[in-house]
Amino acid sequence: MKFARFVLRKVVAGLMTLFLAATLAFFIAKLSGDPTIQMLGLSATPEQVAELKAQLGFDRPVFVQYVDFIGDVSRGDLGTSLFSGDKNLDTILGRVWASTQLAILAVALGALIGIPVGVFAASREGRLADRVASLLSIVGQSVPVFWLGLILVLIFSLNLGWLPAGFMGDWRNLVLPVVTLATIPIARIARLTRSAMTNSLEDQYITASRARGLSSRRILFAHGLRNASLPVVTLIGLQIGTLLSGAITVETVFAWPGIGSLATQAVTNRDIPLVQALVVFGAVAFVIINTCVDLLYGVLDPRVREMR
Amino acid sequence: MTGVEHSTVLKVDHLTVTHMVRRNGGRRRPFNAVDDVSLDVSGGEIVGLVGESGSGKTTLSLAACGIGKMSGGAILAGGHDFSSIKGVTRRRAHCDVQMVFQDPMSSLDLRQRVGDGLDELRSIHPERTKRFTNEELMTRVGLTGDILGRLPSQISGGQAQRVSITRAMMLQPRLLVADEPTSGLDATVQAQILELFESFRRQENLAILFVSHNLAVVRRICDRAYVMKDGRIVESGGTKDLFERPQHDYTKRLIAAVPGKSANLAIIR
Repeated sequence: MKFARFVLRKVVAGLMTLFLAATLAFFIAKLSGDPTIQMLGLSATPEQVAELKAQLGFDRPVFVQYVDFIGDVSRGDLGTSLFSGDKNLDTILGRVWASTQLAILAVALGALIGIPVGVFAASREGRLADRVASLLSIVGQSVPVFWLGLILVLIFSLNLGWLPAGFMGDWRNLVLPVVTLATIPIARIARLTRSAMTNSLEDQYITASRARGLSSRRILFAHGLRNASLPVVTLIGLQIGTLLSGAITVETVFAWPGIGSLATQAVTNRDIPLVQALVVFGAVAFVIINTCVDLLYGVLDPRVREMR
Repeated sequence: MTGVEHSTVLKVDHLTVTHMVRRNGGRRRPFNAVDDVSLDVSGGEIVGLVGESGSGKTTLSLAACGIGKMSGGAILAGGHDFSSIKGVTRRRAHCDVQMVFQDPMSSLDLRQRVGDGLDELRSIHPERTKRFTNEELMTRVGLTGDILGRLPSQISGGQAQRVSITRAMMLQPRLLVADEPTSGLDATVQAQILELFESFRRQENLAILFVSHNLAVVRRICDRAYVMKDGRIVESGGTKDLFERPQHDYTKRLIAAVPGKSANLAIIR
């Protein structure tokens, strides 16, 4: 019963978030100017502009357009692209798999490297290993992704010829974009894990566990890391959400046909309905991932389960 | 003292624990938190260690349990010299020397149910933990079996301290170091916890190093006591003598500083 109430609360909160995101997407697009002039060019006559506006429904009052937009979104209709004439939802779904591959693999790599590095650094707080790990984390967060991507292409594609420089294909095409995209998640996850673990390892139950004869590995992973895991899981969720809604720079550098490069095209073409659709899609991705993270809290921390 | 075996279970020999500390923003300098301390506790004996906050009691307790720093001297606890053993041998040796902490809540993993904590110790030390079932362990400390399914946040401070004592005692230690185990508990619960220590001392011939700044409690439960000041032992002796005929000025001041001293010293008797 408690769980059903919790799920219901999450669903309502998620729908409200989606409604707010759709509203923002609509009004911000309206504030950005009239797309019909952009589409027809400066030489278009007022009659031509008026005709296109009427055709696209832009001549109606803004509030009416807003109500229609929200109605369409709630029915799963994300509109039609001004540029290609295709259904936006179909266009986005056609790109989702490409971005999902990158996002999941990059964040998985980030967690696989970042968590052990963070745990290792925390277990050697203040020593050389900790300082080196902290320094590398700062470097990882500071390096511009587009620069790193280009350097990797230069070394591994152009000079060594080991890996393709871009486009989708087999697993070899994934290596460079995933490694490039993973640098920030690795650095962020390592830093947060280290900081959460440092706090966790100062708790008295850790000293008590040592006194009871538990091994260092068990203390670190079964107790320390478990207690430090909530912020790390939250960060992992946020990273997946961010990358799912488009890793714009990396997708552009590697000519990767994902959501990020679609967003770049939509903005360049001033394809307002597609931009709005992408914002709504990003919000949906975030809501779904946040809900999964919230459910995972209960698995990691029984106190959260009891509270629900 | 009622024990059957009176052999020394804890022998601290000229222990020194030095920390590097920075004072007034200056350079880090060595500071002796424990300075050339020697003491001993025998089986079936409860020995008090009293002193103000910062006198080095907890540092000494942690070192006695093999989980604290040692800079000089030697400790033989439960038959083990923790400075010379490592790995599995060291982890097994911890069963002989257990500790009960001041704050029972923070000494338990708040995400671990009481029963899961006991099961974890069973999986690590199967030989030492097979004597009693979890339910029997709960009964021994005056708790009921339903506590096993609860999280630390769902039990009271007194219950948490009993759980903490259970976790220590289920490993059948020879020495128990109790660091301020009754502070923060109300008088009734304090008395119950003290009775628990006394019953374990009688039944298991347990040696207990009882660390406290509560002189009333020390007088009630301890056979002997050491008085610690600035990392050094300044006086020691039988509890009765120590409280009735203190020799050192610091001990006299400690006893004099107890508010409403006669009432307080009697409250837990």
